[in-house]
Amino acid sequence: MENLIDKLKSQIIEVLNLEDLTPADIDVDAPLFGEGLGLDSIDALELIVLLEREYGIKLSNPAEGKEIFKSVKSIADYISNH
Amino acid sequence: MEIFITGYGIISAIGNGVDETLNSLLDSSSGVGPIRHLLTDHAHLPAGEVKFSNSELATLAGVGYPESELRTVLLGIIAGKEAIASARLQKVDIEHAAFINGTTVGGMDLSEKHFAKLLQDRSDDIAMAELGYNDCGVSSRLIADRLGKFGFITTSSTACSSAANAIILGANMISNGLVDIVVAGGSESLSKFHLNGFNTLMILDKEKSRPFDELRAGINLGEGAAYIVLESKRSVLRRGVTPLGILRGYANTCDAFHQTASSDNGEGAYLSMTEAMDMAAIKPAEIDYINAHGTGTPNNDITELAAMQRIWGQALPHFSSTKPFTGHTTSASGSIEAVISLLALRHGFIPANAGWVSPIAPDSTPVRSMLRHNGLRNIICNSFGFGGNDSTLIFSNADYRFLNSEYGADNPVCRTPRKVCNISETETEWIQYPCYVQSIAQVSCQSPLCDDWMENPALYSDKFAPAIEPSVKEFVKPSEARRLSRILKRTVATSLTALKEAYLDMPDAIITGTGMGCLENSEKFLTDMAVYGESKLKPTLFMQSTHNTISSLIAIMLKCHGYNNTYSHRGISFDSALLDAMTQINCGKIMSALVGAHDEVTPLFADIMAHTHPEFNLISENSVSAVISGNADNAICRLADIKILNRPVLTDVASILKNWMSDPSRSAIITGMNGNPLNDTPYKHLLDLVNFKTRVLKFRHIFGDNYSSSAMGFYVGVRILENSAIPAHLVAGSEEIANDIPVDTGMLKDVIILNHTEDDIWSIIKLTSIRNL
Repeated sequence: MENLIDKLKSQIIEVLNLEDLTPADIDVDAPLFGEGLGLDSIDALELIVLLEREYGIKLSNPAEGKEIFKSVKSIADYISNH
Repeated sequence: MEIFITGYGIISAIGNGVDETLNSLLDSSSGVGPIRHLLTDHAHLPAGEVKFSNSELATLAGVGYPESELRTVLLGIIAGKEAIASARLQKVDIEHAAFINGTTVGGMDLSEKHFAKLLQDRSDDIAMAELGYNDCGVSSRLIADRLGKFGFITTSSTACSSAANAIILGANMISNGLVDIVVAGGSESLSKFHLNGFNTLMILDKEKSRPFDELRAGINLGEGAAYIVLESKRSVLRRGVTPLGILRGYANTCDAFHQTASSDNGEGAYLSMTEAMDMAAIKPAEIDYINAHGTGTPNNDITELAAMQRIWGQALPHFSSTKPFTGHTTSASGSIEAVISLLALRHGFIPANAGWVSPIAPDSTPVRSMLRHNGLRNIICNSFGFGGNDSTLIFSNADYRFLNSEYGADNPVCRTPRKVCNISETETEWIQYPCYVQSIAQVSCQSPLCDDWMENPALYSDKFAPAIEPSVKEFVKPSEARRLSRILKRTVATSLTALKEAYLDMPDAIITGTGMGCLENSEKFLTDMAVYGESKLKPTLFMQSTHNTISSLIAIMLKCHGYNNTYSHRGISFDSALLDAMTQINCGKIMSALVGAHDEVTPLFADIMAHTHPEFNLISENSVSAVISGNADNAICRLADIKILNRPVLTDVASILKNWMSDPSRSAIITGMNGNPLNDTPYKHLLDLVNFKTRVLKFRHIFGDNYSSSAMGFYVGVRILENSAIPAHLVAGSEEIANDIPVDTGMLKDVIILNHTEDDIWSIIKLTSIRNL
């Protein structure tokens, strides 16, 4: 799980071009959207592509993303369960 | 001034031609179904595909290679020919008319066919050459040339509002007396690129689309082309034709909220509809029908409805989206729906909003089945594009009794059409507000945001000179910079520098020229399609691939709700943007405009350009932004005039030069010469024709060649007038050009920027000193 979380953090930084952040800056439980990292709906779509490309998980409804992409932890949980 | 519509032509999924389109609308018959002609993994998605193969379209259009391979071009030729026949335009009328096309896809269908192969191997000459049809301008060029020899052509590219914006430029040009007849509209074919692009945004409905329905689930894409013929009153009288309607009002605004989402209260849509009604001098209650943008996405429909309810409250006029019939024809939708609106006006009906079942909100029921309605007075036609680019056109019925009045067709005053290139300031009968250049900034292969090039120009011996990147730290936070591609960072740097130097917080308009647009993002998206196929593609790349991403980005940063347009017509992209700004300042529509030109190149496209543009020497990138204003205070110089001439007789260009240069000994001509005979010969022929001597300059040997080069020439011209100095390395020299002589730079009065493109368009810009000499 630790490995997955570290890998996810690096992948999120890469696909969303969060150049000024390091994995250590991202709190696993902190919200990614809104007041957290301030991501928006297009970032959510990018995260859907990340799940598909890197983990073979396909979400067909963007609304599902809302729960899954709450935090790095919730994404990692979702990946482990699928 | 009244703008009359005297002709129309259309092809879409609901028919080839006006008659078939009318019958489909009266029968409420939809053209949306499975995709048959575009080769895609998503063929199951419903779309409004035109029911002909490329070879069938080529037969209908009467053309062969290369047009036969370019679906956008084929559709455009078919609709354009019908519009011209319907307006009864003769050869001589077309020679004096403008053709303004809207497209964004351009030749992408051909590019995506070759792309995977070109990533492996660039030795296939045919594939390299066919990638040269990728840009928007070449599509317009190929369409225009099959319709006749127009006096002026250009291309507006603002994604889904492109055709509406083409119509708006045409109307402004007629209002300002630049031209009497304009053929304007748009053409767009389906492509895998944008089908997959919209798919990454997860806004394509897998079922038939249901605009304004509570359970709407997105767009069905479509394709097609339509053009309308706009005409001045004097020309209508001269030709004795009966108008189909009038374009009574129009407006373009920017939502300035997000590249792909509209603001909750539909601010941009609200402003475009209210401004258009203000221009038409009509009250909301006088609108009898709204042909809504109504794409069927959750976001568009609720925000468009919010804007409508802000204007009309609970008593909305009849409204419908006709996209369930045609599909969303993206860049062509503005003119396709303009033709549908004109048909409704003329034939007394309101087309249905198919697929609708239940309302989004109380009192928001669209017209559910075709409604007979004689006596429609005014129709609003909405077209909204990426970047919150919102356009509204108002088509109205008019009293045409004046046609039988004393100004008959035989009125000798207006027997001959007005010649595009012969209109000078002295011919204009009304007040024209002068234009000034307030500030200007550049990024290029020379040091960015400064003028080191004057003393110490960097010289390049390679074939490709990439831009030197400016720092954007002072302009944007890292969190904002993360989505900006190179061209967008350069745009931010030059735009914000120009605004700062002009002490201007908020321009009235943002107008951009870009020949290739956001090429890096487009290429990455194409590369991903080659690697991953038609899935797992990245939405950010598509969202920021459209040409008007550039203009929209600045509008969003500034929260600028003003006019926002983008021209993408190869080497005259900047010149078109400048003409638009000047036209609107001249007639008092706007006071200031941020006008820019931005082009980037990738290593692959540098190779393609070298292949398709043998007249280029040093392929480069540049970004130039200027504040053009009606305000003379603190201005650098006056922007006195601009003319853009499509394939003119060289003597016409020479006579403009002679008219504009009252004192050659106190003037300079900045040419686009680059030392390559293929490029320089037309300039030499032209200068041979003018029999005066003046200072002749060049700049492309240090700034390189790209579609935005003329903006760099403009930059150089402004700096020369500002400094009253001409760097010696810019001088062509009398051994190269016999006309070249030294002039007293301290007494410099006029600078002419002369720009010639590979498809033989000339643009001539005149800058004048405002110092007391």
